[in-house]
Amino acid sequence: MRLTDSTQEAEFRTYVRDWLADNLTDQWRRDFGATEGRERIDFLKDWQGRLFDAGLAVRSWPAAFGGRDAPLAESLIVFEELANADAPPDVFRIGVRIIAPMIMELASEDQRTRFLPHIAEGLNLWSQGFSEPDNGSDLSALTTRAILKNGKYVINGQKVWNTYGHLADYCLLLARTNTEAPPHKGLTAFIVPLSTRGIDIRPLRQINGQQDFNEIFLDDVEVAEDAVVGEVDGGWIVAMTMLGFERRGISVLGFACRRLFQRLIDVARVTSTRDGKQRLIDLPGVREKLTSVGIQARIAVLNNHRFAAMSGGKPGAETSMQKLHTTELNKTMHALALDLMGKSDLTDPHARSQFSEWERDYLTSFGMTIAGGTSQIQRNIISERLLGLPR
Amino acid sequence: MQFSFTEDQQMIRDTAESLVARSCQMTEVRAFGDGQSDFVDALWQDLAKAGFNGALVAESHGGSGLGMLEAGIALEALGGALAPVPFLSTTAVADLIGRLGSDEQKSRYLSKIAAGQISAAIVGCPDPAHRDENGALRGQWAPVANAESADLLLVVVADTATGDADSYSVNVIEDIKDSCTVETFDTMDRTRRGFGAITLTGAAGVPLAGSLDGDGYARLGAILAAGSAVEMLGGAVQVLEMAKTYAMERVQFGRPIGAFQAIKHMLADQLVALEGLRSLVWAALWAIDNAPEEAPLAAATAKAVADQVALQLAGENIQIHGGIGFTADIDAHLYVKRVQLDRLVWGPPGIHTDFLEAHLEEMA
Repeated sequence: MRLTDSTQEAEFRTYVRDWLADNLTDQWRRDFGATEGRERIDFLKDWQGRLFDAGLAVRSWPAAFGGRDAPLAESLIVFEELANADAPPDVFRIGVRIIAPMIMELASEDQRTRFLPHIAEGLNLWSQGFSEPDNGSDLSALTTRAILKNGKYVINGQKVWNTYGHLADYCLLLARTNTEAPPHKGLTAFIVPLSTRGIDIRPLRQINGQQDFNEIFLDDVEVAEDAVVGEVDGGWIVAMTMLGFERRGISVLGFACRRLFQRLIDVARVTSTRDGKQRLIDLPGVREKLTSVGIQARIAVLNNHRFAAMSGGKPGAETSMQKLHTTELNKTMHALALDLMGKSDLTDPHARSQFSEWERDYLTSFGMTIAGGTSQIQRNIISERLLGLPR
Repeated sequence: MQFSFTEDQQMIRDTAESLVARSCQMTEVRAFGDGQSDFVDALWQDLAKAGFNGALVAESHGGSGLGMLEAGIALEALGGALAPVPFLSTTAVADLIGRLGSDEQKSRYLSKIAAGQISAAIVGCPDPAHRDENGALRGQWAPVANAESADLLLVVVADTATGDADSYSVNVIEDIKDSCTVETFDTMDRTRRGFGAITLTGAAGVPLAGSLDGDGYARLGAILAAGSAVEMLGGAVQVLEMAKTYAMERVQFGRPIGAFQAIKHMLADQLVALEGLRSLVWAALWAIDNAPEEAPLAAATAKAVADQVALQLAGENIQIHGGIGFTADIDAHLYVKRVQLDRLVWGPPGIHTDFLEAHLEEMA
């Protein structure tokens, strides 16, 4: 057992920190902040390409697919250092952390060769087409239909909560190909280029003021037979595989929670109460709450390392525990941040602008306990798959 | 990082679990509860023979020369089995004697500890004893584990005379009844016996040759906190298993109660809490052995969470059992009673969260 970096890991961590210091500069952040929409995606494509060239992106992928065959521990170092450096959200995470690992496991040789390098380097942006307005948590009942006609699949239906769909190149779409079989045995996964005729993408307004996700309407959308990933009618295992990787991917939020804890301490240290007589960090109630979230942040980081050592390459149902814990913690911590802001002197314009940022981040945290399987669904998964309780 | 047991450690775990399954069955524990003996000597001897009593004793003194992680592996198994043996006290004392004792003191005690021939108790961490204006040793503590049956009592004394705030001597008392008043500390925990209220009456025992500085005192505190936390983790694992089993067997409204989300979600939250505790506990035990400067914070975190999670799981186990959970006909109550005491024995409740709050900035 070793809870510190090995010599090799320590050297790699230094390399990552140095690289981030050289590349994630204040100027880069200013340039990034000035972009939006399609321009932002292009900016981040460049960033992903640079991460790839530096050997930081997709490090644990097999070398054959553009990775370095590195142990998961090194990928965790990258995620941890990115979190510590307050790196911007990774828009490529869907392709890199969810779809690509599934492609490695279940897709054809040809699909691996065609898609994996581009995902790794950030040349293509990917989105997921799973949830529908009537079928979210109950995913296997989905009704988007794909019918084979003259050698092509014709797809009709509607998807929702499709993150980055308005800017993505591809969608990994789940559709029904068999209405006779039990619901979860009649689904097929397709790689659908989002430029295909018949696709109408409409952004949805989120409560945090952003528009990162969409409704997608599919009207006689045609894709070739080689767009099928895995087996026809075998889409459920594709979906489950992706969801396992998604839960693990979301769990790197644990590193962000520890970084958030450091930021909350800093805020409490520099911020005074409204009467100006005390710093927030000297208030017993504040110390108690900060201690509580600090303990949970430590748990989240330790869990990342312990579970990675347990499961290795293949994430199992234990990722549901990580996802549930870190996303709820993230929400609790943002609520605490807003409380700290509320205790400060909001007549001060600087405090007010900080308050606005935290307010937006607090609202964003509500999405994480819902996306990737709600906290309630995670509890079902934990109790059924890890504890063996009856469905 | 490689946050997993080595093969050797896994083997030690398998050994501890099968030893406890053989030598500390529930029938044994219940019989102990109804009886009078100090502790289950057969189990104590089995632990000694397997090298566990000597986990922190050097091989040159008949021990296994292992670390707190390995002692913790044994403690988890013992806690899960509600074992009526004073393993943690004795282990902490063995560590102190090994570090501070003269050759004569080490020879006098260590091999006997490793061989299971003596057991120990310890006071003064937290709340060190002090010397009054006449130089007599003063201190009062309750509840003290193994107070009534220990062969040795170690007393940690604050050395205020040296002018150094962080200097402690450690006295060994062999004739406990001559040096202290020991009153029985009554508890409903029948899985252990001999808890006492100890008052020093002036006689000092013999000081160990070496003394503790601040780091040494902190190490002792970490051993006791992490050791208690891993023992409580063992109990928590068992009560979750008990609750889950009942939820799968008990049928109401035409289905097992575990099919209902209220029960499912309670157990899911318990498992998440338990796994979080496990990460903290192992990290604390590892730190004691490998990163001593991190150990005090790590151990306080583990114990603070154990105090909360172990009680939550033991209590919810009773809740999930419904009416029968409130009877002494099933074993659920044994775990709750043990947890309640575990939350007091190594310091008052809240002492560890207080420590963390005082060191908040270091937690970041």
